Amino acid sequence: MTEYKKAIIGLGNEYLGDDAVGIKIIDELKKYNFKDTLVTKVIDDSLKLIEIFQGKELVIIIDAVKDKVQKPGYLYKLESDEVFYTETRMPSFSSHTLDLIKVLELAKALGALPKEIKIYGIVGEKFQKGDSMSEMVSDVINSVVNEILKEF
Amino acid sequence: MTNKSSKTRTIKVDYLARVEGEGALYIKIADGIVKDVNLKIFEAPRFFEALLQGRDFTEAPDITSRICGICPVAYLMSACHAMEDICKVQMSIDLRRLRRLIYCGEWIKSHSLHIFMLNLPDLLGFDDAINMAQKHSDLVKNGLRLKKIGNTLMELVGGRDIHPINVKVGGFYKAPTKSELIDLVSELEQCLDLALNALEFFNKLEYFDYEEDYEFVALSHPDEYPFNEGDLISNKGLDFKISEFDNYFIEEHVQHSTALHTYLKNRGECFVGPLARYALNFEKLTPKARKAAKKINILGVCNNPSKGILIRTIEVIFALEEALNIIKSYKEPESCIKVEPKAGVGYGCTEAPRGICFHKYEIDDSGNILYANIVPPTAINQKTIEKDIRNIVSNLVKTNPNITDNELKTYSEQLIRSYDPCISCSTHFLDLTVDRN
Repeated sequence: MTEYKKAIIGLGNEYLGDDAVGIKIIDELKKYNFKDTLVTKVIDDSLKLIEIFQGKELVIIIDAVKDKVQKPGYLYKLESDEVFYTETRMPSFSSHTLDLIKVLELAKALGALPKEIKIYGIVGEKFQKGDSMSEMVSDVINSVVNEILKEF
Repeated sequence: MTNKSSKTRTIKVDYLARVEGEGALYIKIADGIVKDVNLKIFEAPRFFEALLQGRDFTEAPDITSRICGICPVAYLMSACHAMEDICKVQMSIDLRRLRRLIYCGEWIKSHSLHIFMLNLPDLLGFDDAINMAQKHSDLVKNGLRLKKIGNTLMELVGGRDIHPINVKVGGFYKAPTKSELIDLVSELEQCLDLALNALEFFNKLEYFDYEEDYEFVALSHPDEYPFNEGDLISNKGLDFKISEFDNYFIEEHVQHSTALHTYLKNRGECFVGPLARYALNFEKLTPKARKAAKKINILGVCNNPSKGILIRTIEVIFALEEALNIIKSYKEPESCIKVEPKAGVGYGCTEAPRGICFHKYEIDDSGNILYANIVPPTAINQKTIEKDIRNIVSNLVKTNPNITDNELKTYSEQLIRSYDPCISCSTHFLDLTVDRN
């Protein structure tokens, strides 16, 4: 099995409108060759993130964000130190499993965080079942892809 | 929310946390006596049975597996068996062993998630697994490791761990190779040791002092601890074929729940799941699982629902040992048997982690589904859970009339979690209301 040093992980649900943005960005990123980097989606069980973190130097997580301050399509970029103080800006989505912040807290408690972690949070507009993505969010996919490519 | 007067109080838990799905609990207490307990399931009805009508018989496993992200294998298996029952197809020995292997994966994953992440924080006095991890990081790490080997088994046999895609009526699309499975042996053996150690640790914890004379119902197979096949039996004398399910069970709509309540005709509520399987099939456990059970001195019958964590852990030990046995003797089979549709009615009943999952279908000669009925385990257990909460809360209020609503709320939530209800399946958190008027 390949041992990757870095990971780019898209979170979301493609059947919940703008929640699909992390998934769509991974679809675009998969068109590029990254060295020592796992490019993957986590669409179901968020606890899998802790498995992926194992042995990683850098993990970038892309997810949709509900936010009342910025407009749909706005990109929040959070670095390792900021990640744990974001609950008011990046609230919990999930009723079935741990949300992202809780998984990160659990990973921290277990000493299982990667050396460096960055979160790309894209502000969404609609998150209802069966919604398509809003135009303002679709329109920023390429620019977020380019931002991530700059990291490598 | 709490309303208090001198005589009556209402306790509401508006969202049940750390259970699968969306539900609430309402308790009404008047003059120190519990008058009403409703486990409210308010997840929107999902109409799966209606959705299946007109679809091809081969689609039932994949459609119904979407009912639950925690126990999709139960739905896949029950649907496959029901269709094969209609079409008079018999599985080969190797294919049915492969089906048992994917079921081992689901039990290990589902039970480990419940044991370590949902139930254990209550027993150790933590709000959640994150707080528990600050003091007991090894426990959480072991739980995640067990859950992962369950996921890996499901992924290898089922194509992916959530909603597997490699299962079909007649078998599998592709059978895993022996070498792919042999690669898991070392991790399965290490996880077996972790589970055995965990059981000894759990056995030292304190549990609710409550026992009930349940009527346990589970599948019974002549040679095996049940997963996929068998007759339905109870500890109070029932013994019938799964095709007779409708003669014994009644499904009833109750106003406070979007999930149907299912109970035994002329007998009332019964209890399905790990405690039932264990009570009715103890002698068929694998040797290490039986030995571990003897060590903690629970020989067959456990009538205390809060000790469900012990029984689930024994079932994890069983599933790991069974998976090892299957893998070591695995012969790669033809991936499937051809199944031609035949008009008729058929039944499938398999043991989901939470208990029996019953499917009944009628199809026509072309394989179109004319009728579908699905009874998930939590629908059967709801009445039992309500009755137990009524008894336990009554005792608590009687022995300590000054017990606060918050304390009642905490006890009730912990109790409900100990049953591992899958509200998603039965339609879908707890929201508790204690009504003291």
